Amino acid sequence: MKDKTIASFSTLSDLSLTHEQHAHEAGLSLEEYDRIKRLLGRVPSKVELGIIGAMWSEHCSYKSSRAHLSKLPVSGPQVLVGPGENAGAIDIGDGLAIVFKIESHNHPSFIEPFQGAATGVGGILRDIFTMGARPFALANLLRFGKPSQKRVPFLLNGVVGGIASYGNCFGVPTVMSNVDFHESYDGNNLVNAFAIGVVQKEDIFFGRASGVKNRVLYVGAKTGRDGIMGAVMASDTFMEDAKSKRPTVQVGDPFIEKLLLEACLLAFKEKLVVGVQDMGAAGLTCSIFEMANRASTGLAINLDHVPLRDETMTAYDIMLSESQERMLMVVAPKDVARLKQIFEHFGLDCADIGHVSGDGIVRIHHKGHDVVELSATLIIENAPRYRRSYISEIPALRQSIKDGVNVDVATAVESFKNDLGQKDLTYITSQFDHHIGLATIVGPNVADAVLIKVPNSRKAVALSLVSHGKLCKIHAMEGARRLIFQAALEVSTQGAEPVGITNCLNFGSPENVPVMTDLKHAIDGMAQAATSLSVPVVSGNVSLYNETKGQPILPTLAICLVGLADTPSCYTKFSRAKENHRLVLLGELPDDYTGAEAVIDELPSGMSPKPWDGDFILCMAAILRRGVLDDLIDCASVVGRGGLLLSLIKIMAGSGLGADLDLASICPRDELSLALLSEDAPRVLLAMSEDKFAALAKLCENLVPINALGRLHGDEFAIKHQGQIIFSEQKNVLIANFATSLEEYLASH
Amino acid sequence: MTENIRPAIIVFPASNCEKDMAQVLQEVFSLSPILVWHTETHLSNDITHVILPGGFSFGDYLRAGALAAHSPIMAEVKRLARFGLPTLGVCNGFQILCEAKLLPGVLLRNHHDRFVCTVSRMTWFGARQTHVPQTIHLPIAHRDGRFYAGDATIDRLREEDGIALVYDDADENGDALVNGAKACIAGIVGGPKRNILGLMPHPERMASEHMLGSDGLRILKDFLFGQDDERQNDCKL
Repeated sequence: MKDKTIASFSTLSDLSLTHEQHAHEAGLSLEEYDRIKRLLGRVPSKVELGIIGAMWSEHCSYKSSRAHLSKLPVSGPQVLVGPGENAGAIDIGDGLAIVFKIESHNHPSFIEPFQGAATGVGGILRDIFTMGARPFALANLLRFGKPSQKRVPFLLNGVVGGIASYGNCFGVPTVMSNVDFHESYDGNNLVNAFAIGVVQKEDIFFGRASGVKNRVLYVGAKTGRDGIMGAVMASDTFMEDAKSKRPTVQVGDPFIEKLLLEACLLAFKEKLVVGVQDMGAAGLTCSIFEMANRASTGLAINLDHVPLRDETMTAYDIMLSESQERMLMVVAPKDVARLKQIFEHFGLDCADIGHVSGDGIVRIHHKGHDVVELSATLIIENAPRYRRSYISEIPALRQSIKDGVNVDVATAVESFKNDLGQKDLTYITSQFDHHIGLATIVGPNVADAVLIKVPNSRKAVALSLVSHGKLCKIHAMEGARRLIFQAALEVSTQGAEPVGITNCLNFGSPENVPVMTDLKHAIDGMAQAATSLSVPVVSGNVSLYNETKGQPILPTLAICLVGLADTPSCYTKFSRAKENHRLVLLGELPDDYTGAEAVIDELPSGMSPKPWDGDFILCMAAILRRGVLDDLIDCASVVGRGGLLLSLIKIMAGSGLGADLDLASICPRDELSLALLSEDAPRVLLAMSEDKFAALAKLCENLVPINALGRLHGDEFAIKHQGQIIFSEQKNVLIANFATSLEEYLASH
Repeated sequence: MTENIRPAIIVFPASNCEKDMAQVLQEVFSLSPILVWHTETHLSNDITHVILPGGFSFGDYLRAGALAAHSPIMAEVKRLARFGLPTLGVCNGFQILCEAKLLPGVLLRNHHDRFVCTVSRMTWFGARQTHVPQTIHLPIAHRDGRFYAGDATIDRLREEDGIALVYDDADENGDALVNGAKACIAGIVGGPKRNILGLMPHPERMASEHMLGSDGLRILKDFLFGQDDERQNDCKL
């Protein structure tokens, strides 16, 4: 009754429907619906409900994670733009900035893998060029269910095909992939897309609708019915048949996006744009409300002028469509004509759909009716913040866990054979154009971190993209810390200094206490490690509700760490390892098995990894950089998943050489397996020429342990202890196994 | 000497290798290429070479290069190529040359139906002038790179030394392992003065030791200078 009285004060047209029903459709709880009524002092219209539902979705509002994300270090002398804008930006000197971000497109990619993954790439590219930057590299992190699951080959080929079709056509190299398989992803595969671009730092653009009376332009492709309420769908768990959600997946067109990029960059160059934002999640809604909120302005929008693929679309459809390749621009009235000319040249739509107002209210008009009248700030700043329940106690960090664990090298080699997550990824990365742009110095699969020349600059960026769901499941905080430490070491193997981090938190439902506990601790661990290395987290994305029928995915924190190399003429590659090169192990020796891939599934519960020390990592990273820049080190592999053994196999595969090692210098006879398989200590395996060893040892003196293990040689892989052969195998057998199984697996399914 | 050489690079809406090509012509050969938008109808008289770069021309939803072959600029490109102007099509550019009937054959979807980006070993026989076969490594990046032509056309290409570049690794039928190209053909040459060269690999991606390698230089020098070894010394390497 009361609602009706309030409604009579509004000029909006459709306030008589059953709104509880619509609230549910918009993904809002009844409490949230009541909150809206209180905030507005009236009932919302159906379109308004759809808008608020999208803006308050987990995907857009971070309502479960925001409270914790505030702990991340986001500033620093080189940070030009931190979280909150379309992407983060770091000053790299010479007047240039790099702009980068990683973002999830998990839910759509499970429903429709090809289009879901393709539009994930499209979205992240728009985030970069919306800032005014020209994208120069893409990367991705992919997670699939256990390989025996019937749908996995279909999903993998679809996702890889979608990324390839979009990235290759757009013309930006896809330089790195991180791929793994686990049964927890059976009902929720993950697609995280990363992009990086470069811009003159004074030319960075922001998503702000400033300047009263400025015009609002809609540019790019037409609006269709695809992806309506996609942001809400992405904030929900899957219950049954994901197919029924197909219409919520957008369809991408890289050809249009390429034209949009060139048109936007030309418009930016001619200084015709005041503010700009791409229409990503929640489409026109999100771009209108966020741009108005950032500038504390209002917008008057007439939907009658929005270019449509289907004229029968309602205001609700138009506001919530997630059709791809569209942007919203705020421009001075005098520049409208020139902008229309530019977009026409590229064959794109460019429509004047409204103007900026000074009263802070977003007013939307459609076919003779006002359908929305909302304060952007009211809606965004009053989005719910949930303090979801979690267990604050951090699991104790235990020391030595080696008793009761028995694994020999032959068994471990055998287990790697059946583990697709340990394979050479050439089958996947060869489907991505990683050479275009002439900037790829060290590309995919030939080193731990890739090295890409920054266009129009002498500098290069090294990228490391890591994640370790199983370790984060054991101990989310230490797992998160180690990921950042590992990534810092990896970029250091390319002579690069860590300058910034972007992250994607892929988790299950935050309403589930163990999931929320992992999420909270993972963020804390990330904050600790980033702080201890003084590397800011400048952008990121949270993807929750990755669970099906109550089964959450492993806590999958994807970390992409960007390093800056001033002199990219020095770098490491597996193929640079040569006959008779010395194999050298830098770092601490493990005394623990926790987290080791070879035994992880057999560990007793309650085990915890040993904490790594941030200062020690800084020291190792500095030595690695010096060693690479002084041309002492030719090849390096940071010991991670699969332990020292997998690092050895990678170097043998890359160099085509066998290896002859004696591990007596690093461990007693009965701890050989521990030395080879443990992932519990920060270590880096190096290959270098004999005569340079002394110089590196001198750098390490009193700081970091360094041990010569043997040399690269011949056709055999032999592990000895005091001269006695413990394990040997023809190198070709190991290499073939590492290199071909992924392709064979997919061919046979 | 390079001052008389003035290449034009034709840009279609979704060309994406034109900047790479221009960069190499500038940095490695000290040339000043001009970029020409596909809706132009005329190339200026000082243009000495025409290049159709890699990309997806119009998104290529119909067939690679099919729409581009009918762009306004192509009438001029055809006229000049048939007159003898050196014309190079790389990847999508090769597809356009075939669709425009400046070269025989067609580029079909790879036999494995996947995009493939890799460095392949090939044998280069020369274009404007043939020479002793040379083994080179070049990067490829395409999904529609399977050259196909009827047997009679292949025989004629062989007779006329029209096969400029072949992939080294063949299957039991003699077709390329990497994409299924008939007779391992990676590039062909035609035109009145052996002046029209179409290649699936990207020579511009291997034009310096600072890149992936420098084997692409041999092809670019052949195209730009007609295999004149003395002129090669003028390049800034």
